Amino acid sequence: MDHLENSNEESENQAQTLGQPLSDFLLQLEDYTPTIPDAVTAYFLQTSGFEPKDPRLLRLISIAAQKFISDIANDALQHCKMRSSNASSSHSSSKGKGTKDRRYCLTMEDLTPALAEFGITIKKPHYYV
Amino acid sequence: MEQQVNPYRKMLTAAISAILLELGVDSADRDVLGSLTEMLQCFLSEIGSMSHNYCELSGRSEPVIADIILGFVEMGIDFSGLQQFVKNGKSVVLPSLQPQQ
Repeated sequence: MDHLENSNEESENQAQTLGQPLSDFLLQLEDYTPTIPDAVTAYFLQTSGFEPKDPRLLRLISIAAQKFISDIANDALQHCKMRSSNASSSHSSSKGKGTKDRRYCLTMEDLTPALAEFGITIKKPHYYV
Repeated sequence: MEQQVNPYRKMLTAAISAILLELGVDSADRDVLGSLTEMLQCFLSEIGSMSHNYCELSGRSEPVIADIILGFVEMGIDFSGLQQFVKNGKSVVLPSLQPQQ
């Protein structure tokens, strides 16, 4: 019986968490400026025929796009950090270089495995000048 | 002759660069920026097209949030973390464009 009640409560909570954010979250977007400018998002949405009058809908899409890129870039950065720490530990472990002044440069070598985790296969052809 | 680049795409690249800087990346290859720009543009076009389709399917011409949510679901994007993302991240706002002289 307890178990049943618990599951009922859980499903109620879940219904709240799934339905609630939509309305609440939109209100929060009123005074939030995403990194991708509204005009840019609006332009690309218009190219596919989507023209929302409410700017909050634009912002919702901007934030989703920003999160999409941010997640991928963060993953790629972790790959980059792991690669550089492996390289430095195998090459110059005796020198004991400070890790604070390390500069991270994102390359396709980092991006490819990060994208693979998201199910995106990327193959850039070599470019010869 | 210099190739004409869509200014909106340039803005996307600038936004991606801002996001990367915020994450702590110091520099990125041109290939990486190009790929991310392409992905971001594709993301925006795709979500626009899907939401538009859902909107018209339900006989409306004015899109509502439900259409966008359905678009997210169809694209397999988890939108439950968006609120947390907004709360945590202090997003960088791009500086306003200066007229070229």
